Amino acid sequence: MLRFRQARPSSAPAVVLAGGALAAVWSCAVSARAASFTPEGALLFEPNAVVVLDFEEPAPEGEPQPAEDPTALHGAHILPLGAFQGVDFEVSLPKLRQTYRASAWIRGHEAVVSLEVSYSDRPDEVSALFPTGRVTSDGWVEVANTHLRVDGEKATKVVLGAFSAAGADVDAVEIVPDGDASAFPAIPNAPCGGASDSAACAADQVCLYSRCRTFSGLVPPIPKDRDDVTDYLESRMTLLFGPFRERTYDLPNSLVAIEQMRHAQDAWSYWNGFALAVRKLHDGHTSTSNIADFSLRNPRPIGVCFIEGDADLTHTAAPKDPAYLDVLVSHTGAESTLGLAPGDRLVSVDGKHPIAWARGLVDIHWSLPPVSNPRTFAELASSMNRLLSRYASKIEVIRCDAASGTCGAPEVISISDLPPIALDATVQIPTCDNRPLRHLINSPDDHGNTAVNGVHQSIVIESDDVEKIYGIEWESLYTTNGTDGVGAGLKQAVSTWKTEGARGVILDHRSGFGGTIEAPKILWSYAVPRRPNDYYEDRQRAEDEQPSAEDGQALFDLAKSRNQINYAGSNNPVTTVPVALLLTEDVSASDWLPLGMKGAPKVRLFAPFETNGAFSTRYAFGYWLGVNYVLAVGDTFLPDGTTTNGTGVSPDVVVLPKQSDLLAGKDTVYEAALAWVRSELAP
Amino acid sequence: MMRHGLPLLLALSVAPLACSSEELIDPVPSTSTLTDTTSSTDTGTGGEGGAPPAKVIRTVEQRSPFGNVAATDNLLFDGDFEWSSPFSDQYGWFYGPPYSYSFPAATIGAACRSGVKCVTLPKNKAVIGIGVGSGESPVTVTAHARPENAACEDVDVSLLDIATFAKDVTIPAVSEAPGADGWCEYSALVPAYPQRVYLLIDNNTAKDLVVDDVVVRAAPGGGSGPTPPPPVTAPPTAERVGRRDAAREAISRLRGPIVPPNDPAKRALQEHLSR
Repeated sequence: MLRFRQARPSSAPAVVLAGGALAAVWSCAVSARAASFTPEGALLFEPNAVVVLDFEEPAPEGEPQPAEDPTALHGAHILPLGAFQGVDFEVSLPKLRQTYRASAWIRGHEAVVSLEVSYSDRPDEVSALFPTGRVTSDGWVEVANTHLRVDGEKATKVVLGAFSAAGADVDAVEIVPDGDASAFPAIPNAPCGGASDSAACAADQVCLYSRCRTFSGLVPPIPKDRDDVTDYLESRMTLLFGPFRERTYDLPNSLVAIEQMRHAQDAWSYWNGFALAVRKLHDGHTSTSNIADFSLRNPRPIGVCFIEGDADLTHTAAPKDPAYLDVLVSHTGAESTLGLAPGDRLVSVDGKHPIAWARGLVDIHWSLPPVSNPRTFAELASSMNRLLSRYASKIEVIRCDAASGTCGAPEVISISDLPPIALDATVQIPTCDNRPLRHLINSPDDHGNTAVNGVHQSIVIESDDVEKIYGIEWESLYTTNGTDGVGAGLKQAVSTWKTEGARGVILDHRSGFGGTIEAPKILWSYAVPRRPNDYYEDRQRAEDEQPSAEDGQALFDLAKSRNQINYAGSNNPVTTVPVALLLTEDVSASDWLPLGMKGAPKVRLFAPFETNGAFSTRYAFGYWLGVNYVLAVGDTFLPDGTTTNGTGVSPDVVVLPKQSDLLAGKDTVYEAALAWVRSELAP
Repeated sequence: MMRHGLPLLLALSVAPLACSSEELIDPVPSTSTLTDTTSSTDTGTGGEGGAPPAKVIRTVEQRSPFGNVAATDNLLFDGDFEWSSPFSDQYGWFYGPPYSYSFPAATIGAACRSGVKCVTLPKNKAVIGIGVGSGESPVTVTAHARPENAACEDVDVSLLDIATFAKDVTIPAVSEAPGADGWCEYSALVPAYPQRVYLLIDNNTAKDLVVDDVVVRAAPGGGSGPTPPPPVTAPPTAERVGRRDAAREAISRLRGPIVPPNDPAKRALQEHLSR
């Protein structure tokens, strides 16, 4: 932890002013609660500041060192941060319950400046600083945030951090009281019973990790030009968001959230309204995030991975939900498992079906995994362990016994009452890859991906070098030229199948993170006779609406005539070797992969449900890491002229993971694929 | 856009307002209450005895930190660069040549024309702003660039025709030389542009170029009025045609789905915040 001089500002300013000006400027600054400038442009720390940092003393060895700079805002030094460099200042605040304005001046490039307050052994609340609009003629930009609550009596640590991705100078940091205890809820960080217990927290708080945490500091203040900013953000969605189906069915819901922004009374409600509007677009490429995703650490990690399936052993004890699939334990890590094991069932979360509960988090959870297809929820199931840690109070489970093949009665586990792990404890959480079991000789036990080229490959462990059923397990489809990223790995796999005479192939892409079209092309070329596949088009006009299939077909044909469409396959595919493609969770290029594979002579898609249907690409935008959003910008036309974003690829064989199989150590989807491949083996 | 010079002396003359209880994040009073004193350096703080006025070190001004949001209907994804982020792997501008989604870190501060972010282009570098066109209205295009000791025409601003390859539209400079503030403005009313917008801003000067405050809008009134003539410009030079073609080729190459893995900036930030 880097410590710099923290001083009362009365001793800090090194500028000489005439008395009258001094009094006026300072009295003004007092009411505005921020550093001010002399008429000559020298910075004066606010007299009531409780923390000032001007970097006039050397830093400890190994930390970024202050540098003398004639354009320093205060004193003679600044703190230069190199690219990708960060620094922390632990500061001491009064033992009072009050609010603060925290500010810093930066120069050069954007820097993330944050204030973290710990009430336990880890950061409990985080705030980010945003540009105030004050800039100086010599390049300094003020970043600040106001009314940041700190219960000084209880705070164990307060850290002001700065990080710059491109390099930035920092100077004139100060923290000034700007409000008293009246700004606090009755209990500042009250215990709460999960996200469903909204009544426990104040309007600008969210129940996170079983405590009410103030979120207003995560976002900028409400803009002074609120109407213009709101209109501008609304038009990002109405004018620029690409997918047609979502614009028809989901955009109206987004605009309701935008309207809420116009009347929001606090910063969190305002910016959460925008983020909610983005998430309500319900698109696999369209998402939001903020600094909390990076900095608030999970005190109760859960080493359990869940998957949607068929709880065939326990429907008597807990009936199947009419709308959602059952949620089962797919696999677990070695610790923090809640005593759960593969085949156990997650029946409910805070009284709701787990998927219904997770969907309800859209109102508050900025990094909720997005999906285009309104009928699939694989992303929520695979991230369920993290969601439970963050937002659940009580879960209801059914434990089963693998030896006897029997299951017990529903049992309640309190997530809120789990003891937090030590800050320095390392818990190995398995990767939730929608694969109950891995089937290649070098697949890692934690379900991660350790392949040098991103593609695990071998003869599957259930086969041998006579039967020659080869498999690959991989997640990314990112390659820019067919050789970087996973390009080389996929090409190597295809080459092996050809040279070694594979008699069957199993492509296990049950976690597909997308990438580029170049990667699917490698696999299409192996198994698919060449055919026109699709035409992706960025949104063209502000007025565009969902085209008819007839208009879409005309557009497709025009694009085809211009050689702008995607073809799947090659002129010399291998059509004697059965290829099974296993799917569960996908986005973007991982949607395109099955789109191009489907219908080929010796290809079968095995999955529990349709794919994500995220047939677009996206652009990402960030406002000083406080408000980040990603927007899908186009849609994809099929040869029949229909648009396909929001409509996933249907599996050829619908297979639900079965509770009875999981309990018996079987991987239902894989077993179905393996059986089919064996029935179709090439000679 | 909100941009006003604001020597701090002004704070003195309007102290009652500046000291109001309004909960402002910045302590600078509303600029609408101030007179423009950008050029004033006589602060009058010399005090009694006629001491010489102190040297002004810097001036301070107040801007909207969200940039030019008055153009609420800007058809570009982010014409003012305020939403650019070092953590965005795919932003609403291309940068090159060679063109890619790798966008340089934004320049921040008073160097920008509006808001607090803009982009600085080294010589022979360009940006391509991405947006949508209008199927019903002419579009107005305005862009601002601040060259170092160069004429405005040394910057090529043009709408690149990607759909038909038939015709680019050059957006001419409003004046030959930069204005008093150093900025060149490029502006045109384009009669019809019913296709995706790729607005090229190409630095053909010999030094750095700052680009900011770029707006493409559907013209008010839609297509109800008489169709305006296209902007009159000289044909582009062969060199510029070549550079535009390179940009056009890159756009074709970069279209389509791209979801890259986490970038180094995100990983570094994650490491810093989970320290």
